[in-house]
Amino acid sequence: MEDNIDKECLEKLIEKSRSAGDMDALGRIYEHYYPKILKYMYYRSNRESYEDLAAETFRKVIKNIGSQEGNFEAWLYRVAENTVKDFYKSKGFKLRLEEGLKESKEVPGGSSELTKTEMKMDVYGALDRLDEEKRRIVTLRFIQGLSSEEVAEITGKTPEAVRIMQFRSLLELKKIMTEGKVK
Amino acid sequence: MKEKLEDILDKCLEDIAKGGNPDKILSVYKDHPEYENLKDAIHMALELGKLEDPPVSKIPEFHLLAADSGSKPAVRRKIIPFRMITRIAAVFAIAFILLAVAVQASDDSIPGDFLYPVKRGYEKVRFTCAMGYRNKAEYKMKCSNVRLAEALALVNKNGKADASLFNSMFDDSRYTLEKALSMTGKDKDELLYLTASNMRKQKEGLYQIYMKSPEDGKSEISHYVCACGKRDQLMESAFGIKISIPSGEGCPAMSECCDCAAGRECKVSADEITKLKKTIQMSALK
Repeated sequence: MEDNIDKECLEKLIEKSRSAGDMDALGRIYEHYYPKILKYMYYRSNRESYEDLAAETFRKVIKNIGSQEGNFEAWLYRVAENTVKDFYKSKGFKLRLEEGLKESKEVPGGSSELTKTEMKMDVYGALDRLDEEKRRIVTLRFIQGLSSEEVAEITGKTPEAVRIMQFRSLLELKKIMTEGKVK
Repeated sequence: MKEKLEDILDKCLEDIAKGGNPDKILSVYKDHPEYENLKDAIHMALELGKLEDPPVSKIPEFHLLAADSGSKPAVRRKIIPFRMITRIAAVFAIAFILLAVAVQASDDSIPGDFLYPVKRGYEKVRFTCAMGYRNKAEYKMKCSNVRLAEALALVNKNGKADASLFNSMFDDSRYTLEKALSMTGKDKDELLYLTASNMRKQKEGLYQIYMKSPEDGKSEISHYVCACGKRDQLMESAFGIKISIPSGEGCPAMSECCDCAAGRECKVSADEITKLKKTIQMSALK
């Protein structure tokens, strides 16, 4: 579904959507960003509601595009993050943690020689064990493939702070996986 | 200065993203005391990058999503920032002040002066803004007197009057007469009397200008003074308003202008009287 639009064309579509409420332009923006937001929701929230959350994010985008200013992509990820937060607020924060624990597999104690399937399963589980802010940065930086500067703009932190946090998060993930904290 | 580990990690990740070999990139930092941590972090980052795309059951259609969102996208409202409003207000205030100063300065201007068009423009605005026939008629009367004063000032300054000012003065007086005749009762009598009085003033003013004019300019002005005399006669015969004539020897209003004296038709008088009669006839028909 991902529509490969060049940056200049994307900017024009965004401007059309903002100033004239052009639904065709917004439809193309949706096609371009939907897979990215879906992936963000999958790794940022839980494995059951990510499609609903992605759809909800775009509902908010459609409603509020007229008041959007500045970097559209950064704004879109902030809308997505707020949608996740609202979701957990309504469901109760514990839900995500319980789901994460349920889905994660036990890691062989102290061993770093993990099979590919085991590793994937553990990454899912380990992500769930990270705190909200670290998980957000890890998702944006390594799963969405954004640069430190882009992540900084989305999260409102300095690029230095993002670099420090990403380093700590990666080590923490590794530690969770190798020491078998996910049980 | 020693490079921070988080910066090294970021640099390594960027190099890997560009297609660099992770082992080769890492080998540069083999002697770094935190090498193992760096290696673990990069290893973890690579694992995260390998995570698959989520399974998608059904991609919602955009138009359904838009319909579901309850409304069309709100079009961005163009909000004028406060600073912009202040600037616009300041520009308007300055323009208003400049205009007021220009209008004030143009008050004594005469034809040929730089600010004279401002004066005439302002008169048009004032006339448009005057409410009711009576106010409009009285304002026109005032304007006709201003034209006469301007003609006098021109004669004093250049020794020559501008005939267009007299024509304008006659036009304004005719307008006043027309409005007076369109009224009824007391208003009509009052305005008619004011018009006649003003016509008398105009004749006296024109006579002054005639006297002050150099000999070669007297001939042209005499036609207008002559027209004033004939206008008085018409006012008297039509409305019974007797207007005293200025004294003085050789006043064209008494002895008629050079053309009349020579038995030729005075074009200025003939035109003005024809227009006046037409005005009176039209008012009678109404």
